[in-house]
Amino acid sequence: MNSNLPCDEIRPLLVLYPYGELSFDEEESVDLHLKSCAACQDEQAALAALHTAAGEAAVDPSLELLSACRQDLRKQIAVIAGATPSQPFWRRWFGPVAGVSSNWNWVAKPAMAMALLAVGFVGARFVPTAEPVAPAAASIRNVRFIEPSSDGRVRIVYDEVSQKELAGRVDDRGIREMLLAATRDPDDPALRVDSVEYLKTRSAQEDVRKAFVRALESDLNEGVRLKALEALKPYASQTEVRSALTKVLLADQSATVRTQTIDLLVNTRRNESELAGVLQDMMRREQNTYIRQRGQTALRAMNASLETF
Amino acid sequence: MLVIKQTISAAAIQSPTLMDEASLIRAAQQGDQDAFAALVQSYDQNVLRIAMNLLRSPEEAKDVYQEAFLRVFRNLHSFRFDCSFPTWLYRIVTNICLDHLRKRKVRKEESPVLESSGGEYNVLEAVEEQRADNNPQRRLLTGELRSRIDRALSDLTPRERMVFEMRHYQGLRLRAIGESLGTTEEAAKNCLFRATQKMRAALGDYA
Repeated sequence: MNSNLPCDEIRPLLVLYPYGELSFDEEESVDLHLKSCAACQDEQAALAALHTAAGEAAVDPSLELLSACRQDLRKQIAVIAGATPSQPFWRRWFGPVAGVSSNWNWVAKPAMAMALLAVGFVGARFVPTAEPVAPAAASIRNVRFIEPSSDGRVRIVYDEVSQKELAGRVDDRGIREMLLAATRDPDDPALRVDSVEYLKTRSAQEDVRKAFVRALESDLNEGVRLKALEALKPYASQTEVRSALTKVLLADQSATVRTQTIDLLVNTRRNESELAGVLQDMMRREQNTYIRQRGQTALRAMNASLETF
Repeated sequence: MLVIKQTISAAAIQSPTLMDEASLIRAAQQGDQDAFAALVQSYDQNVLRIAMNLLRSPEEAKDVYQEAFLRVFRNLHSFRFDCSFPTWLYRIVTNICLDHLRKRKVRKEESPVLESSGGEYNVLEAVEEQRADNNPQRRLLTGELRSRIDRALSDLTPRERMVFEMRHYQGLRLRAIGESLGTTEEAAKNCLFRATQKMRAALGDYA
């Protein structure tokens, strides 16, 4: 590609430039052109400003909205699943017995899988034309091994997930343990938020508080961390919670989480010299304007210097 | 009374997504609702985000979410792996969103500034407040800039807005956007170019 393209050919490329949608040659041409063209440099800066401004207007749906959407979808699917003619025969057949038609589950039903497996074996053994039917695929978690059998068939051993239902009060041991386990669910942040929500009135209990501290310090989802932070508010003066708050203030990637953390730390100050040290440390690395201002105000109120030297 | 349904092993021990996507789709096609649920969970946050950014209304985003996944549920049997599952899904989502945007145009409701009983009500502002009422960076975003972005987005045609949102906010490649919209990568590129130029003009000194 000609590296000395005129401005009117470069301008359309500038639009795609920040998105990484240009070919290698096009990108080379833009880079080369920008080095020597002030007008296009201005245009590029303007486009960058547009990106920043548009980025500010981006919205993320809340986890509560996601959770509500999932619940509604579950209900609607359950209704449809009870009546759709195209449903596989086994589900219609076993549905009313196993209750599948009235409950749409996120995980596999062992009864279904076992029934399906039975159908597969019976079919394979007594109906010559029928092929073995695989168990509900989502219930299979791990195929352990495959080996040939003497009659030319294949024997497969696999692990299968089973589902159970537990009902009770939050303080019941089983429910409580499941809720604590759900705070660590690796795949569903909405489930983690819900479990923190259910447990937050039990923050006085040490194991619950520890679960929240772990979520605050290490959950990958900002919404979960904020939920844990909210649940820990009444205990912000306790040593282990304060230690977690300090770590979060200095290291959390989310400005929102850091903002709420500094508000909490400053509003529940216990040991001023300790807090001043933390804030001074924060001032050395924090880029966010609001958090810096909050830190400055708190340090001035404590008659402490803004930074350590 | 709290009811907990949980996979015995999935809570903290292992990922429920060891199966590859194609296997999940096939299982869902055979009527396995759990496989379908796993598919939903893989993509529903993105679907909701697309709808939310395009429509700026939690209620409408929720409607899009429901309609999209119900269509997927009803039509999954016809999915033949001619394209990737997300491309197929986003095609459904974008069509539903486009319908919403076009209906707004028809009803002359394209402007997100709506009238409410309490006077003027800015949808974008409300969404922002819901999402980030504790985010000082967003609070610092001036009302003027916000309303200009708002106006600029609403001045785009539904297709321009769709391409801009999907490229800018979802990070989808133009090729994938073209496939989702049933058009070419080149057409999507032209759409993005027009959208960017319009946004640029509308934001004036801010960009």
